[in-house]
Amino acid sequence: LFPPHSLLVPLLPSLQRNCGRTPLTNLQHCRHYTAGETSGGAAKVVAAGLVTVGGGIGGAILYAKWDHKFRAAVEKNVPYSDWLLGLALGPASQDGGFPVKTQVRVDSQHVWALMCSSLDQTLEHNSMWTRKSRKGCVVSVCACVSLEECKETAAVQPDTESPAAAEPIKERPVEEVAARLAQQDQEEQDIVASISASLEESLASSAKATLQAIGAQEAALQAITRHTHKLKEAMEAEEKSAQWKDLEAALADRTGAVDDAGAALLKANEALDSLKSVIDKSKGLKASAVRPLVLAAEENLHNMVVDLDKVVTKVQSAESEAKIVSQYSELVNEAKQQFQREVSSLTPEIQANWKGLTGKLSVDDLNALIAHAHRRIDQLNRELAEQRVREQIHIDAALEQQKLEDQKALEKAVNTSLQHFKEEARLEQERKLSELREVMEAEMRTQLRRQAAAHTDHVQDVLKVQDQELRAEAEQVLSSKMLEQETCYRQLSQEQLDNFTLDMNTAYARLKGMEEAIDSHVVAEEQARKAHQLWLSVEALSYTLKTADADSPTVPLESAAQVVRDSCGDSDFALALASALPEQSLQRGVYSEASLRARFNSLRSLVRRVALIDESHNSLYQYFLSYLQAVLLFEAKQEAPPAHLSSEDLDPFKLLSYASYCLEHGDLELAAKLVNQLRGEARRVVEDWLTEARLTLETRQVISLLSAYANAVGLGTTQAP
Amino acid sequence: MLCSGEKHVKTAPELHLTLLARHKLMFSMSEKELGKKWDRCLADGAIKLGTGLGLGIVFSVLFFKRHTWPISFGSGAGLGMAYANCQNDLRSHYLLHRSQKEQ
Repeated sequence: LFPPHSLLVPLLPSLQRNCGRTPLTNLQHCRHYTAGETSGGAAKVVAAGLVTVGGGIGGAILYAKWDHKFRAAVEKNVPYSDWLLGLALGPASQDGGFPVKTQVRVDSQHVWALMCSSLDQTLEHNSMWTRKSRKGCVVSVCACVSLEECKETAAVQPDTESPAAAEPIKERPVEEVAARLAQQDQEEQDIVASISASLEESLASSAKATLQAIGAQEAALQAITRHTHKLKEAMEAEEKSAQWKDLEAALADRTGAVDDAGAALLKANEALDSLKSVIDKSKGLKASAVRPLVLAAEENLHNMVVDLDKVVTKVQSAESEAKIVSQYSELVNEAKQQFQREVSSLTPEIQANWKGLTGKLSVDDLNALIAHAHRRIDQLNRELAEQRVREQIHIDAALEQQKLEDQKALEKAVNTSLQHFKEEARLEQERKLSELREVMEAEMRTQLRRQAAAHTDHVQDVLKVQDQELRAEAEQVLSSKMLEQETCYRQLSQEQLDNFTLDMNTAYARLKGMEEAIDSHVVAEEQARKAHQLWLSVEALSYTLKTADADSPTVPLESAAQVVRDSCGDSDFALALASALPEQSLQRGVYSEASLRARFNSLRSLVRRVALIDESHNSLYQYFLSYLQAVLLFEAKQEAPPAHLSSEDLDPFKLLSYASYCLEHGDLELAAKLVNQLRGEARRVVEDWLTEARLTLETRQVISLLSAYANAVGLGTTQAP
Repeated sequence: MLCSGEKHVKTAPELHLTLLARHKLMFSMSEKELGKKWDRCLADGAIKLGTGLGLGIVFSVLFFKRHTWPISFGSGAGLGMAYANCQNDLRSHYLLHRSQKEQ
């Protein structure tokens, strides 16, 4: 694809040439191309970017739909993502959080409910099985069976549970569960109450009826026994009509009693039947709490039935006895009647109670009676022989009959006793069953408790572990937060402290500054005051200078100077200055410049006159000459003094003119200097003036110095330090 | 002026000056000295002249028979004395007196 190097080489210079020749056009072309390309390229880049972003967002949404943790993480970290994800996917489902605990709780509830419901099933199974199996190994078998059943039911439970768990397990709120349980309890209690009520009712009614029946039967029994007794009595003793009446009464009594007993028995049976039906119905409801009641009712029923049967058997035995006795009595009566008939046929006057008639009968009667008796004895012997012959047959028949009857009775009794025993056995079984059930229940409970305990242990362990984990996590978070907070707090407090310290420091510094400033101000003010005072005193001093009149000097400066000395305080300079004031000015005052000027003017002529006089020339003639000179010499009134005095300028007249000029221009110092150049008598003449001028100058200098110093000090005090 | 100076009570340390000098210092006007001197001169001259004249006249009258030469002599002597005195007075400053020399 790439052209070989050899081809490139000639290409390059041509390219260069091209580029060199037409760089602008090329560039323009290039720009066109590049612009177009960039425009196309920009659109491409933008499109690619959009596609990427869209793809990223779509991918994130899809992944968030699949993985909730990712969704949560995205929602937490990216703002407004929760809104977007909510739009796209709907609100996040809440079952992601804490699945274990709710599952555990729900599972336990489920398990418990199912266990409770399956208890009855197992026990029913158990009962069924025990009925099938023998009594001896019932318990163990029951236990094994129950365990197996539990296992089975436990095995069953996951199946039953999983469909339940397949639904979105929503933790039933505690109140609902409690309500349900309460409702269940309530229902059970209602059932139990109703059953117990009905049972009690029926029991009571049946008991009453049974008691009544028993009572009636007893009464009947009593009546029968009485009757039989009476019958026996009547049979054995000689009959009397009262006794027969009694007997009849007793018989009537007996029949009545028997009827009553029968009716009562019927009622009792009815009641017992109803009780039984009730018991069966209550059994059919399968409420476990009812069982003992049912059992008790059954037992009661059984007892009642047993009693009733006993009494009935008693009555029947009594009746049979009575029948026998009555039969016997009938026979006896028959025999008696026959005998009576016989006797009466023989001797009609013989009464039935012939035993009591032994004293009343005659010999004939006695003979007839003996004959009858012999005949009777013979008859009886014959009958006896016949009877003996027939005895066996009769006995056999009777025995057979008796056997049959006995058998019947035995059968009946056996049946009844069997029934009773059956019933008893059943009841016993029921009792045993209930006991077993209780035991089983207790065992089941213990097992369940154990299981529940194990479960709770496990749950506790899990919870503990989770708790520990969460605690650790929370502790960590807490500690980190606490640390954060603490550091924050410490920071804040430190900041606060720092700020406070800073503020305090600044305030203190400011206070100190202020104090210092105030002190310094005080000091400065003191100084200013002093300076002011000094200045005032100096001003006063300088004012005293002005008090000089034309000819008289100023007032003595002593007081003012004293004031100045007082007010200058510890300033050595001022003190020195103040003490540098010349004595004469203090004592006497100084002359003003004007007076000195005037004096000089008057001096001038004098000096002119004694210009020639000095130590050597001081005769009168000289005086005359100097006077002459003064008259004849004319000098300028005033002449500006040069910067440097030459020897020519030391001429008195010149000096005077210079001095006069200086004085006129207010330069006393220069004037004094110039005047100081005078020599001789002129000097002597101006000595005092010079002194005065010196004094004035000195004083003025001192005062000006003092004033300058006071001004400087005053300025200095007014300035900020 | 002298009086006003005398009224002032001095408290400051005083210079060792004579009273006169002090007075002089206080209100001394050296220019007036010459005038004073001339006054003295003239006064002295006048006196001496007068006295000489007088004496001359007296002597001339008394002793020298009204010659004029004692008058002129006296006046001249008087005048000369006055002149000498004046000159001396005027020079006095420049001359050292015996008392000063001895001091």
